[in-house]
Amino acid sequence: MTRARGTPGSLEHKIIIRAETLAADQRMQNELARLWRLLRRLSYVAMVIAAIAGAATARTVLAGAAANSADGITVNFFWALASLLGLHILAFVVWLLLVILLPSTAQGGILGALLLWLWRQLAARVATGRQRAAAVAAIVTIWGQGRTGRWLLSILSHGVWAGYLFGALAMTFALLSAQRFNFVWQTTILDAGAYTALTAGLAALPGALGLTMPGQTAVLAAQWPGPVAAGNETLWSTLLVAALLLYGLLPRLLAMAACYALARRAARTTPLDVSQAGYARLIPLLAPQVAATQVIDPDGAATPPPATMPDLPHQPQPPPPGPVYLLGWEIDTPATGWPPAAANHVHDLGLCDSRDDLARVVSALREDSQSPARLVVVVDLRHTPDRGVTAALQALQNACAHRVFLLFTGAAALQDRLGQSDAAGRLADWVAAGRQAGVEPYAMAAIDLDTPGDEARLARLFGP
Amino acid sequence: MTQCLDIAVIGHTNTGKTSLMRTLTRRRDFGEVSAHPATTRHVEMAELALGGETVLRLFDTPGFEDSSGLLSHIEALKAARNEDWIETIEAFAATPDLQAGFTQEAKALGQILASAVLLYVIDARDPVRAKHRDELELLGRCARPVLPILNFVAPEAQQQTAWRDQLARVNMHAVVAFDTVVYNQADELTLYTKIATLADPYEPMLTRLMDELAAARAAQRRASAVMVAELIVDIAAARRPYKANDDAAKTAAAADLKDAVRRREQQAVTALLHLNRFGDEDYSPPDLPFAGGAWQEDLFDPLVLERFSFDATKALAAGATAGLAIDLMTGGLTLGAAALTGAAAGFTIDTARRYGGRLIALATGMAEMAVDEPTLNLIIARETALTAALFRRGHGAQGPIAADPVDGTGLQERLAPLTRQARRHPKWSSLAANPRKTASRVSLVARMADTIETALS
Ligand SMILES: Nc1nc2c(ncn2[C@@H]2O[C@H](COP(=O)(O)OP(=O)(O)OP(=O)(O)O)[C@@H](O)[C@H]2O)c(=O)[nH]1
Ligand SMILES: [Mg+2]
Repeated sequence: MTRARGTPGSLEHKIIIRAETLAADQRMQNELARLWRLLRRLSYVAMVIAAIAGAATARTVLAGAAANSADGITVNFFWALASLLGLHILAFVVWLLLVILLPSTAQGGILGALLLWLWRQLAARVATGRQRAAAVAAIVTIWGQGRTGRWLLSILSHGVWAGYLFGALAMTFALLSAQRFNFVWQTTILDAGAYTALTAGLAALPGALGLTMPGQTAVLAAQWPGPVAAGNETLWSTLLVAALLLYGLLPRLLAMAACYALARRAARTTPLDVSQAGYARLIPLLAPQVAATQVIDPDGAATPPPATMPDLPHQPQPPPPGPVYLLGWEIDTPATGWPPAAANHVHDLGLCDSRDDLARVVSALREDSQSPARLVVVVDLRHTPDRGVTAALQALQNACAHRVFLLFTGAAALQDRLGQSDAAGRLADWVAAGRQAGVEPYAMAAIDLDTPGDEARLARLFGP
Repeated sequence: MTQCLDIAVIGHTNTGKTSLMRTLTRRRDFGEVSAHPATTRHVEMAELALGGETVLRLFDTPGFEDSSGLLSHIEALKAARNEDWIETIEAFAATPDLQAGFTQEAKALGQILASAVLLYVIDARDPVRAKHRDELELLGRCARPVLPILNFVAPEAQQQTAWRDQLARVNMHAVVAFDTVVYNQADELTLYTKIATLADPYEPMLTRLMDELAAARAAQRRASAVMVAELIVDIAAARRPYKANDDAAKTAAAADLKDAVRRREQQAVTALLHLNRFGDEDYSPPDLPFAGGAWQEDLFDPLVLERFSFDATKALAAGATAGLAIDLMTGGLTLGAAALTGAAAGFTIDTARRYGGRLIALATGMAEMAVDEPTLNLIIARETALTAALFRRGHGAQGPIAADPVDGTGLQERLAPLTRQARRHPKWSSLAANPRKTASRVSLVARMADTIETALS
């Protein structure tokens, strides 16, 4: 996993690396090797059986029920050829058409599928355990699905057919060596011309390869019944063997080779379907967008302990006699208006938030001949109390002989925004900020100016 | 391009800088997030890699607190030292003696000067205050391209227009609205696109990064849908046999099944959370109201019969075709015996495999418990709601996931034919004693995942 994560490249690449690392597990290797061996042996057995079947067919066709006389066995040449090659050619053409016309659904032929099915049944019996299940699944996924699977199954099918044709060819050769055959043809509705043309067609390829083929005279001479002219058996035998080889075994072997090449190419180019759930589980593990995190300049100072929340007096103390000032710091006009109705008689310093405002207010407070009895500073709980607020409060404290009273507004809106517990934390942060600036808890109160209903408390706060 | 792009995330305290870092890096454990001020007290970096190569470094910084005081302080310094702005700020950031209680801000300013692009995070619910204007002035003095990020835009952002006006006034016209808690892929792409306009040598890299992010997201979507589909198949197909007419056995089977289903759901939830890079603590499924029900597949149900005859015909045909091939290959030597044998074998094996267990169960007086329809539908609704919620959740989000199943999506109805198919194959359930992952199961899961993915988008 670590090795895979560190590897540069796409997710797909990383998954493959991981798979290789996992597959390097010896037990898995053994299991896979065993199952491969089983599949290979099964294929060989199937080919041998097919070869025996081919030989048996050839024997039946050539030396079966046909008339056997002293001057040899008389065999209908074209009938024999069709029996030996017909099904193979039909199956081959169907396979070819499917592969060309329906490339997405075409499978690798029924014989290949049958073999794979047999193998699965056997595989279930030869081994047990986790590795076995995974290994079987791995092989079935490769062989049973997708483009690679199609070509691999096709190789199996062609292989079995090649075995069959080889058997047929070998038996034919043996029979031709050991017995004498008279190759003839007969017809009810066709004329000799058709057979001449057919022969010429069949003979074209072997002829081009330099073999001596039966010509028109040989064809005419072989019509049966009739005076079958001797001496043409070798020509017909050559044609028979050549046809089996060139139209039977060779196409199958070529197709096998082609499928092998195609399977290799498909295996190389088939992308991993990384969206499969199994792989998806690896996405967060293997493709970290974040390679590393690092603290650049650790903070030396210890984190301050969480603010402990003192009880705020529910009823604010009335102010001592003297002028009362009112200031809104970093707030918008409250829903109940500014200044609050209960504070109509106090000195309103307005709503401020800038350093210029602060300087103006401070000098106004300083210049007032009467020292303020109380400066009510309204702040909004929705705002985060920062060091800027503390500094401003500090400046105000200094300007009015530490007579600042902190009024927190906006509790309802804060509650909506943060929820119960974070809202309580926010109030505690504000109280801590106030104390930092030298405001004592008895000089703080939370009264929401956005919602009417707390006029009595406000009246006490601002005095008569 | 070997050079990597350094981006500093800056802003007033508690505006969601660290939350933005978490969402952009998909790391919910990055740094520290709280509703208190001054949570982050150092610069912290996260590297983003593309193909094993670091291309982007994001720096989280301590928030500005006393911005007006800081501006005054630096103005005074500048006047005293008789230097230009950049030199003064450099000296201030580098020399602790000049920092006078502004250490947090000095760290942020130092990182600002070391970065190519600044992301200025704004709490868009706050009105523009003097402290913000002072911050913007200071940023202007730092001579770095700034991309303002309007955070907290979902669902209320009363002050967006005010902020855009103010930013335009200081020549910041490219602004991105990006909520760190309610994730939106399009907004994230806009963010990177605008960064690219501010740092155009990095544009090819940023394009690649956006492609990779989009691809990863698509893969995650698909994988999440497949996970939900797997869960549905496993649960729909789950069975527990019990002796018919034995109430104790029936209760035990129901309890056993419920337990297995609950654990399977929890497993899916964990997998979904991890896949989307969230943690177990982000969500826990509420309890399962599980009625359970005796599941007696009526062998004479028309649907079952239809399926049976179809299966049987297919098996018969497959067996016969194979046999026929052998017959023909042997030139008729086997005289059709192979075809007949093949057909019979195909039929017998297939029927035994599919229905044998159940026929035997029926004969021996066993019944089967399955998950009832309402429970199954509830799980479908729950897990799709969770998946949808995960897609919408930024990694900066703090609270637990609210994934209330919504009715009326029609998803259950669309999945119904597929779940019915799953129900008929007890072995497809991973909760079975010996589960089988056949190709038809794979294809069913894929089709279900398609449906779910469509419903979620
Ligand atoms: N609803 C909502 N809450 C958010 C959003 N972004 C951040 N938060 C919350 O805002 C608070 C502050 O977030 P942080 O990421 O710690 O902010 P910060 O800017 O890093 O703060 P400091 O490090 O203290 O400067 C936390 O409680 C977050 O959960 C958002 O887009 N929507
Ligand atoms: Mg932070």
